[in-house]
Amino acid sequence: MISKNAAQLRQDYGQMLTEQLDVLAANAGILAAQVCTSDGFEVAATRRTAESHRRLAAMVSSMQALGAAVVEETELGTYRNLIIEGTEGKSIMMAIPGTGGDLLLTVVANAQLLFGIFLILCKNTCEAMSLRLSPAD
Amino acid sequence: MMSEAPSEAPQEHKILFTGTMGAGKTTAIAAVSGIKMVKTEAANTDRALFNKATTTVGFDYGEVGLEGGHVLRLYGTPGQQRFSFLWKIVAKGAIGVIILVDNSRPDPFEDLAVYLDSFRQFVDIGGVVIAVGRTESHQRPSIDDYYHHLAERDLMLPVFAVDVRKSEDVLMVLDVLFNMLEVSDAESV
Repeated sequence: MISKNAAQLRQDYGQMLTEQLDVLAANAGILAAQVCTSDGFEVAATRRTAESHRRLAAMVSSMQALGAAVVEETELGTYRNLIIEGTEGKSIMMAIPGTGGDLLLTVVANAQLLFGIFLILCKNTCEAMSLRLSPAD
Repeated sequence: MMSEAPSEAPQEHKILFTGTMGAGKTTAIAAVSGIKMVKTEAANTDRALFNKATTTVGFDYGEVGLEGGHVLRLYGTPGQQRFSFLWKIVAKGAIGVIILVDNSRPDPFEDLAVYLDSFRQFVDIGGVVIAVGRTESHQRPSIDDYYHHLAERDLMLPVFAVDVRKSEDVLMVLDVLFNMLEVSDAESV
């Protein structure tokens, strides 16, 4: 569980998370990436505008919560991620391991990036972030 | 006991609970729902705004069964304005809105204005009831003050002091809303 608010998380981990997002975004096909709290506050982001990220953080928060509700309703275990596909690309919303679902990674990719590669890139980023987050937070 | 729904064939009606964070939307639906509620809560990291552990970020859902097999489907919205995109989505297909106002907040009228403006389409059809909470500990503004305030905005909407933990209070507000909508329907025929 994360006990810090978004401002404290930005202060303590903003640079590390942004660096991880930049590494992810350097891959061909990745259009944007963001980390936000489960109640909809942006913590770190790469590309796109700040306003766009604020709106996206709130939407991701809602989507993640609805996804978790569906997982519970259909007895699918513990919520892991949510995938959305459009004609021009796809997005994945993942709970970062070790945060009790309180920090979420959202990544947007174009249609050309193969889904399997997209998934592995996002999972690797989540794990790298998880290793650098203090369990005490 | 809730009033019976107007049509004889069993129908489902969608009603929203909205209002500021911590106003009691989740509690109100939990107080009357006849089914296990669907909750979409996240850890609340904004304790400065309201000091509670969790906050609704998707929507709450519960149901109230009426005589004749009719069902009220109750949806609770997130309170914070950053979720206003979801208010419009959840409002689709609803017949009325209950606005919960927390009288302990610094400016309840300003809070109320946000939801009256955001759910204007329901105000225009007389599909809004205002339920004011925490009036025992915070007596001002009074219910009369609310009526005066609404009158200044050329609005005539029912206002009640409620304790959303009490099912009878929540059912009363639902009953008033439902009766208002019945009257509105009858007048439009």
